[in-house]
Amino acid sequence: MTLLAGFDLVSEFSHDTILYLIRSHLKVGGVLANPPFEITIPVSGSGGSGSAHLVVTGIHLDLNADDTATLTFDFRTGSVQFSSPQALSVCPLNGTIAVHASISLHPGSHHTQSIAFLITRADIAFSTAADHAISSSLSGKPVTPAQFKTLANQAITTFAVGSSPSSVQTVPVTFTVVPNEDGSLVPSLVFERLEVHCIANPSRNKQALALFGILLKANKAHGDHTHKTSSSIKAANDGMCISMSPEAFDALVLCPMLAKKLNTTVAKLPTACGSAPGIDTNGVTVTRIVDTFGDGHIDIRGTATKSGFCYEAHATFHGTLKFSVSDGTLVPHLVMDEPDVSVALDWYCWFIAGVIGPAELAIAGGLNAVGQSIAEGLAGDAINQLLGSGLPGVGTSGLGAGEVKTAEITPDGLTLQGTISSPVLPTNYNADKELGLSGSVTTTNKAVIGSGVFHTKIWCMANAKDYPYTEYSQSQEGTYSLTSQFVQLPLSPSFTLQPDDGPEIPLTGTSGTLEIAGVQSHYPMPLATGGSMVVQTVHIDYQINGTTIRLRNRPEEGVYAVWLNATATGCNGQALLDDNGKPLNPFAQVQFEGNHADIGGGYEADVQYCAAQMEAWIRQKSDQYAIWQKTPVWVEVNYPSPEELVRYVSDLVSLGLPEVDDVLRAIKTAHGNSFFRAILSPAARQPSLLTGGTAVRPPAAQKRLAR
Amino acid sequence: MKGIKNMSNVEPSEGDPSPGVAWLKIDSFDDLIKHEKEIIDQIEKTPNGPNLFMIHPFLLLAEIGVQLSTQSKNEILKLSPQISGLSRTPYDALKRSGAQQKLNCRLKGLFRRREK
Repeated sequence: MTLLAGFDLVSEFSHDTILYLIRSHLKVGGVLANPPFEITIPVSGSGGSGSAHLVVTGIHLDLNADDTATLTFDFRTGSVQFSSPQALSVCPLNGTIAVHASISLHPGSHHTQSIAFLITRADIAFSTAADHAISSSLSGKPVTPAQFKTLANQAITTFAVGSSPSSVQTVPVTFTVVPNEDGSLVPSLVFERLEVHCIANPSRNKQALALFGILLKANKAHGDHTHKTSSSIKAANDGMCISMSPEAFDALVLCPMLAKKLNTTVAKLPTACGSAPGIDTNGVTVTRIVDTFGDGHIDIRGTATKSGFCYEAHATFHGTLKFSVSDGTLVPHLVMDEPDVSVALDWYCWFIAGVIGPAELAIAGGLNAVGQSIAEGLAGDAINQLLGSGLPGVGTSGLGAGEVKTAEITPDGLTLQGTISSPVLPTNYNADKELGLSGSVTTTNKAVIGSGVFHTKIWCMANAKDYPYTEYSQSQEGTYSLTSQFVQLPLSPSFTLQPDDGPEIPLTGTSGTLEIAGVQSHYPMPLATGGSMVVQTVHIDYQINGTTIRLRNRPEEGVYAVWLNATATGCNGQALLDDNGKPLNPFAQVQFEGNHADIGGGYEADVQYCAAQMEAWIRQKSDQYAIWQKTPVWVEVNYPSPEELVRYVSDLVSLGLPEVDDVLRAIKTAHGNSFFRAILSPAARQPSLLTGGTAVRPPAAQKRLAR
Repeated sequence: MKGIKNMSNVEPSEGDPSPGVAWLKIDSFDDLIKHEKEIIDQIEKTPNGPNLFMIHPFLLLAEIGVQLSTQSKNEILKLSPQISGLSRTPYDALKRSGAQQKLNCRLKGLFRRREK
C-alpha cells in the first residue's frame, strides 16, 4: 500500500463524514435519506396492486471496492394494502432496504466537479417475524408470499431508482479541475486531473472516500488508485486527511515560497526549483537547494558560495524541517546545522591573516538567513493559506469546518490529519409517533339578514355619531384531516365533538347531525352592548370520509367553539399508542361564526383613535406616577391573534379605571367576531396572558393544557 | 297593533315580530313609565325575559303583550338614541334555548327617564 498511489494530492473523507453528506443531501425516491422518515409507495404488478407504507428508522453506509455505496435502511411498522385482486392487508412488516448507488465526479460549470451518486438498484429484505406475518396474512389468499416479495422488491426498486435512467445527484463538495495545465494550491485549489474512489474495508469505520488528484501537468499520466488499499485517516469517525507528495510539496509549496522570499521567480532559482546557476541572497550565492522527505522530517540540503578579494568559499548546508500544529495552524520548525565550508584562497591571501574566519562566518550567517526565510515562508505560505480556508484541499460548502490536528512526514509525503465538525443535520430527530388534526373553517354562504344605523358615542368623542351596519348570516364548514407520523397505516379514525366543559360525544356512522347542549354562543348584536351571549343547544352536521371530517354549522346558532377530538386504529385494528403506551389523541378547536356584523362610517377608526388617546394618557401617567405596570397597547382591527386581543383586554381591565367598561364595549363591538374568537380561544385560558389569575379554566381545557 | 307595525321604522331589516296578546296599550313615554313596574314584573316572569329585553327591547315588549304606539316608540328613541343595532337573530336563539344562561340580567327600569 502506498500513501498517494502515484498521485500528487489525495483527500480522504471518513465513512461517517460521507454518511453525513448523504443524510444531508441525497434523496431516495424524492425523500431525503435522513431517517426517521416514512414513505408510501404504490405496489403494482402481476399478482396484485395496492400501496405500501413504511416507517424508516435507521441508515447504514458501506463504501464498496467497486466505487459504489450501499445504503441499508431499517424499516418498521410497515404495511401493504392490496386493493386487487381483493382488499387485504399484510402487516406488521419490518426489515431492511438496501439501496445501491455508484459514486463518481459529476462535471459542473467553470471546470468544477462534484461528488455525485447515481442510484442503480434497491432490494428489500424482510425479518423473520415479517416473513411469518406475510405467510399468515396471505394464507388462503390469491397473492402468494413469493408473489408478494417480488411485488415488494419491484415497488422498492421503482421507488428508489425512479425513471430510467435515474438522475445523478450531487452533494456540495466541489473541486476545480483544469486538464492539461499545472494546477495550484493557492489562491485556489486546482487539479489537472481528479478521480474519486472508495477505500473499502470490512470494518465500516475504516472505510473512506478518497479523491485522488494530479496537480502537475508533468504527472498527468501518473497514479493508480488501486495501489492505495487502506485509509490513512487516524481519527475515530469524524476524520479526514490530506496527503501531498514530495514533488507536489516542492513544486507548489517550497519553490514558490522561496521565489517569493528571494524576490525572484521559480525559474530563476537554482536546482532543484529552477535552472539558474545560483541566486544571491544575504551575502552568499545559493547554488543548489533540495529537500528530501524522511520519517518525521524534511531534510533541506544545499550548496552555496561566497567569494572575496582573494578567496572563494564553498559551503554545503543541511537543515531539518519539522511541522507541529497549534490551534489548527501548521507551525514549521527549521533547524540549520553548522555549514561545511571550504575556502579556496589565492596564493597571496596567505599573507592576509584572518580572512578565513570572516568568510566562514559570512557564509554561515547568510545560510542561516536563508533557512530563516524558508521557515518563515512555510509558516505564512501555501499550506497555511489552505488551512486558513478551513479544510485544506477541498471546496467544502457541504461540510462543516475542518481542523488540522497533526502533520506527519514520511518518505511518501506530507499528511495532514484532521477532523470535520459537521453541523447538526437539517432534519429533526423527533421520531415520536404522532397523530394530528389539520384543517380550518371556511364560510360557504354569507347572506345579509339585517342592516341599520348604530347610533353611539365612543368614549373620547365629543358627540354621538351614526354608523351604518350590516348583519350577516354565515353558513360555515370546517374540514379537518387526520394526519400521522411514524404510525402504522392505514388509519381508521374515530371522532368526537365536545363543548368546552362537557363530555365527548362520539360521531357515529359516516354522516349525521350532532346536538350539543349547553354551548355558549355569542352574537355581535345588539351593537350597543357589544353583543349578546346565549347558552343553547347547537347542531352540527358532520360527514366523515376516510380520514377527513366535514362539520357544518347552523348560522342562527351564532358564534361558538367546540373541540374536535380523534383517535385511530392502525393496520392490525389496534389503537395507535404513543411510545409511552398512551393512546394518540389529537384535538382541534373548531370555531363557527354563524352571525356577523360589519360597522361602517369610520367606527373602527374612531375606536382606534380613542384607544390611542387613552394609551398616550396612560403612558404619561405611568411615567409620572408609576401607577400602572402595563400600558394596554391598542390591537388593530385587522384579524388580530386571540393572544394579542386577550392580552390587550387583560391589561385594560387591570387598569381599574371607571371608563374601562365603555372602552371594553366599544372595543368588543369594533373587533366583532375577532373578540369572540379571542375569548373562545385557548389563549383566554392561559394564566400567563391574564393578570391576577382571574382566568377560570374549564376542566376540559385544563386537561388539554396539561397534555 | 299599529304601534308594533311601526317598529320596522326602527329596525327596517328585521321583519315582523311575533306579538303576544296585547294586554297593555302604551300611547306615550309617560304612559310607559306609569306602567313600568307591572311591565317589569311581566318581563321577570318571562323565561330569560330581562336578557331578551337587553337584546331587543321592542321585540320583547311585543312578545309579552305591551303594544307601543308610534309616538311612544319615537319618544323612547329620542331619549335613548343608542337603542340601535338590534337584531332578532340572537333574540330568537335565546328564545329557542332552554338552557340555563350564564349571564342573567335583572331590570330596575325600562328606559332612560326624561331629564328634568
